[in-house]
Amino acid sequence: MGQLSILNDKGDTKVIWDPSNEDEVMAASDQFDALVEKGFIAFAVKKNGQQGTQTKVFDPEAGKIIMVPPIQGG
Amino acid sequence: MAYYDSTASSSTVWRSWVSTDTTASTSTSGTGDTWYCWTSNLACSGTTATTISNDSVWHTWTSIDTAPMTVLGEPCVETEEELQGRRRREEESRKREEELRKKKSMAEATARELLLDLIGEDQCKVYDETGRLFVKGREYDYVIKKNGGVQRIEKDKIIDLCVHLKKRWQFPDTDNVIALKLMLENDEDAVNRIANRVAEREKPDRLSLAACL
Repeated sequence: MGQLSILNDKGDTKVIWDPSNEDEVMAASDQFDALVEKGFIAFAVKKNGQQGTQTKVFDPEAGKIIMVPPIQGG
Repeated sequence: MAYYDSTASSSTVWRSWVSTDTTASTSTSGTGDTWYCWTSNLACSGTTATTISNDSVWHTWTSIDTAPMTVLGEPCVETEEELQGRRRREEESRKREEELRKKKSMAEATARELLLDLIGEDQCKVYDETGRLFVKGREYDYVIKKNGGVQRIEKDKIIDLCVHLKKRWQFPDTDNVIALKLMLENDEDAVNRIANRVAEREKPDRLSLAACL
């Protein structure tokens, strides 16, 4: 199962898809693209501290992806 | 002017000055006559004043029902309806604040779950205790603080940076930490370019404890 975690005011919202289900993959991919267009940055991450990798294209096999809103200087 | 007074007092001259009736006589006159004339219509148009107290002028100045005067403010008395309305609004406000506090607390718990997935239980405990997460960048090491701010650790100094999620106040603190961790690990240069340099100081012998991997 793939999981998209979108950081937001609730902590995060999760979008889950089954890589073998075309409709679910399409829906997750659309959401990914829409967020990237808004300036979110995507990171494919692994468990237990392994460094995340920035990704610009949706990969249904990526496993877990965290979508981070833009940052700014304070 | 034909004026006489059988019991002349020091105020008679004043009475003479202010009275339109110059032939008036008076049998008893107190020292407050002049003041009485100044403040009472009766005294100025009448011919005699028999009982006048010294504080009559003050009475005139301060009494609502004896003379027109400016009253600064009225005592504010809340009606039962207004009181109920105020209490209802206060209760609603308290409930909204409580709801907001619960939402923020739930959001922070959700963000912590996400961080737990990234750094594991042991380091998450250290993060809970210290509110700091140590991150290794390509060039420098960093400490991200839960309550805001990033420290860039250089060879012999520490640089305090101010960088965070846009509209940070909307996000739980730990979301901000996660975002900066991922950004620093992947695009350290971009973070340093965006961040504002707040302060610079000598690197201490020992750094504060922080969760690290």
